[in-house]
Amino acid sequence: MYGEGDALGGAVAGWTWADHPMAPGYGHLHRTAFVKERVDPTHPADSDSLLSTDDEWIVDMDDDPSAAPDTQSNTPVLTVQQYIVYSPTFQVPALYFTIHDSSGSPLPLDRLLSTTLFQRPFPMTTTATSSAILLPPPDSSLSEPEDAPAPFPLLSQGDHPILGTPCWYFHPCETSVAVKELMDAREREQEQGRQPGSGEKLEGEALWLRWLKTWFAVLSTVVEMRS
Amino acid sequence: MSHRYTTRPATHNHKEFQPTSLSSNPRHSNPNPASTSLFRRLVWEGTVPLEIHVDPKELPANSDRGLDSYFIQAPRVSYLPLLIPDIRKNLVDLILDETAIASVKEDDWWFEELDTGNVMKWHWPIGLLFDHHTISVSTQSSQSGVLSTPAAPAPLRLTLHFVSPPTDKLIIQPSAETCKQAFMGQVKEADFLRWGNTKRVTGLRKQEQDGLWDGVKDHNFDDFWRVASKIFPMPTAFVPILLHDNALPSPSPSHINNFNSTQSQIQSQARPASTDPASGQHQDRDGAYNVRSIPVRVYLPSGGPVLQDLVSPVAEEGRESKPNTLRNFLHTQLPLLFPSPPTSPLAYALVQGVLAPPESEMAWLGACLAGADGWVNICVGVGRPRI
Repeated sequence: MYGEGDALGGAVAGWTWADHPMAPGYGHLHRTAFVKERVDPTHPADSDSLLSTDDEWIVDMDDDPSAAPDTQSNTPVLTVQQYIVYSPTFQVPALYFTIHDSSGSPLPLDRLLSTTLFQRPFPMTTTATSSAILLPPPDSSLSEPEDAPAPFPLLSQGDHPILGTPCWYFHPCETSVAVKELMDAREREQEQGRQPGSGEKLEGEALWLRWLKTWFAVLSTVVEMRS
Repeated sequence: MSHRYTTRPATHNHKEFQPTSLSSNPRHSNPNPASTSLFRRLVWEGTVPLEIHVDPKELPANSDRGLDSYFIQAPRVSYLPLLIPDIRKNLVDLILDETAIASVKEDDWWFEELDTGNVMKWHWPIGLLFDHHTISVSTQSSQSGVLSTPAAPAPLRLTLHFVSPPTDKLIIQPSAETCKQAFMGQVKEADFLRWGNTKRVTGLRKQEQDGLWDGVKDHNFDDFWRVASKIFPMPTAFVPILLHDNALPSPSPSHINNFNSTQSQIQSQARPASTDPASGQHQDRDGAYNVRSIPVRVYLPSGGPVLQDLVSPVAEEGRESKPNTLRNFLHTQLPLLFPSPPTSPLAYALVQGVLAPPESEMAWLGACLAGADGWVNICVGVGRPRI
């Protein structure tokens, strides 16, 4: 489902390491990217339009050349500061970002979702508040409304763990679960001979690398990660 | 509402409030539920003095400029947005004339420290804002060797602005709703750190989850702890046990794929033995010494990073386990400021505004001195404390 090497080349390019000014070695990866707002009159920028018609994960990222582009060349460019930061709570990397327009104002959530930063259609069912995107909990249809479990946040705001500045971030819990599922699936397929590789358990740096590549792939289903 | 803030006597007096491991034997820690409740109530009732000034440049022409500041004795466990109704009623509405009152938008309100210009993060508990200010002030005007007598602390002077919140320093849309979301996020992170999953929080019904925030909002100890007692650990008795040769796990790639491996390793190494297996199992499952990590953050004076790392409730001493102490933890995090005994430390640690004794057990701090969101916020100041 995901390939290594060239398919991820765009996702892993352009990152630099930045230390906290007072704590060398305590740092994060940083990249600046530029996106635009989609201008498509048939798809108003609200969260409903981001839902796919099925609940499938959309994994084919190739642009369909026959589709009309949904941004125009004179649409203003928005600046995205992307950070890959180690989450000390969840002990995995997490993607933090800020997005500003050309006057330096941060974008509110509804405009954020309709930029080219986010894949279309959005690969999962979500609800949005003014300050977060939420995933419904499993089996919520089975409970009484007052007993219903609360939705999980997928994207919300928080302090950058190193810089302390406010950013949007994807909850590491969700991405980690997805990465683990994919890695387990690949291991099974290798054991069954359906994937190249000896099926030996990876360790150390090789394991970390595989994990990180899978993480980039998972994020790419939601966020445009190519630089 | 305003009476509660303005007339409550200051309880911020570190002489009355000395957290210690209450047993004389440092290995067998506090199993007494009454004292746990006592310390949790002391934390809940703790307050700090705030002096709120309105920015005179933002006052429209017809404002009453005679009334320029408002003192609040604010709860440590509360948050700035929760003070806004009080400040509105007892300061802002008295200063502004009727047209101005009708047009003022609380969504754009923000606070900065009057003396330094530091923007106040509204998603930090008020107690943390105050302690962070204390350690930052002591660093700027360091006069070493002088330990001041305990006196009422000077209020934290804040300027209230009505417009143009600095969006590079504050999370946008600082409404009570985003404050609640940020709070619940921290509650879940604390739950995750303790147990490797957030089942205790997500297992609460929505009504109960809302009850946590409502307890903070209404400042009601009983309402808050009715729910919080389901997710906070209890400091049950700690019994030292013999450790195996590879006692405490260190992070390794295999842990990426199994969040529970660290937790189960620590549990299997350090679960206290119990004479009654049935009741012991049930108690210990939520015991403070069974968590895989205590939710702790270390704050350094202005400009320094916020440090967060795994904090095990137990440490090794030879072949036995013993409770992890504050001195041991600070030594691992900041070895130059907190060298091994007998060298004296070059810094001090504030927890809930109190100079925490070095022998305080981390597990006990996590169970009894945490904030409402479950986090133990340790503010480290350089030099000798001036509180």
